[in-house]
Amino acid sequence: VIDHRDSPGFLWRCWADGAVIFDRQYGNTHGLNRLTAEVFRVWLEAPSLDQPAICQRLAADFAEIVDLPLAVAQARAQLQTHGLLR
Amino acid sequence: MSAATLRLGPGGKNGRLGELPLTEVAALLSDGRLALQTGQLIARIRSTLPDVAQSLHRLYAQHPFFIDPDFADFHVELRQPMNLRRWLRQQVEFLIDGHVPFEPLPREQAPAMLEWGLNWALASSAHQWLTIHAASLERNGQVLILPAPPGSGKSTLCAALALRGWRLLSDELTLLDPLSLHAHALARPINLKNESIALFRNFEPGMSWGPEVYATTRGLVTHLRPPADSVARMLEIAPARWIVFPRYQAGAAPLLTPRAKVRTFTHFAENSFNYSILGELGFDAVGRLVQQCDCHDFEYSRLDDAIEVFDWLAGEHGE
Repeated sequence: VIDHRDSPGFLWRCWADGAVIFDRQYGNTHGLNRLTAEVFRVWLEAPSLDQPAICQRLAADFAEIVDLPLAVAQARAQLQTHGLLR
Repeated sequence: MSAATLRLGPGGKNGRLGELPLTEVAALLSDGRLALQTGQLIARIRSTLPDVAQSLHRLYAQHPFFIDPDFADFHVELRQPMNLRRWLRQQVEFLIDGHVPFEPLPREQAPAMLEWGLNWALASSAHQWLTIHAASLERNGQVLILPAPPGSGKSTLCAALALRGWRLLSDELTLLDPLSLHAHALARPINLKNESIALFRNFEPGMSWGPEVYATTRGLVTHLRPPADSVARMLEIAPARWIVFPRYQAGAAPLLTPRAKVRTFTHFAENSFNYSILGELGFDAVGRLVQQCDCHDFEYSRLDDAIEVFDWLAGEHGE
């Protein structure tokens, strides 16, 4: 099974509740909720984007989140804890 | 496997261990000449301990055996360690290929230690499969996987299903081909503990059991002989279809609820013995497994209710 997000760095498997990512460099597996997975995808596509720009990209898909900037900040913190944002 | 090593029983079929007298089983074990087949694996066993011979003779009565096989996947031994303990509180140790992988246990736990040692041997070396800490059973050509932490009622539920029409693959180690996701059977004895033992003596009277021993970390433990049909069909493989996380809850009505895929994946990543060893192959296998299976949580209190739910799952939703 090839996910369209698969890359030399990461393998992805995505479902309605989120995604599981395999770090090909370190051999680690990370389970992420839907928002955190999307924040990571955006960051991979455009690492230089700042937080407001990331929120802008995700606003339409996550309209149900009341405080999206806070949720994105938490997602970024989680990605850093996982070692995915380096 | 050379034909000369295979003891043939009536009609030219493979001999079954129960066809041998206990004295011969004990003598073969003592000489290290006996090997048992469980699923695709062959374990050659040496032990001079009489309770190990009795337990094997009873629990593996339906399994094919070999004498002096040319090849065995595992060479294991159970013996009393040569230390001062042999004069005081006696102990037993498990060896694989001449090495002792873990601490000795009290002598009376020898038969159970053989089962636990074989589990360890398999989980630590059989990397041709994705090896998951879970029970598995088959019905109508499709496999149910029951992963769960200790105390969740996994083995109890597994035993109940195995005694009510589901084919036992394993109560402890689910073996999946990482490419085809077909499950392989072991058809080994089912490990039951504490209240489950009395429950099953009433649930299915007349079954054969191993000795009961008190293991400090687990409570009262014993093993139940696998159903004959599960042993006879132990080389049949089948695709994984359902993943159900059981949870025994006293007084609870049976409740089957969908389980999130990511949560299911991460459980398998953390509870597979060789997920990390398999690397990207393991990730891909677990991803496809979770994708192709219906995933559920299941809360229950009565075994009859649980059997009804799983039969419904296999019948109504098995297509």
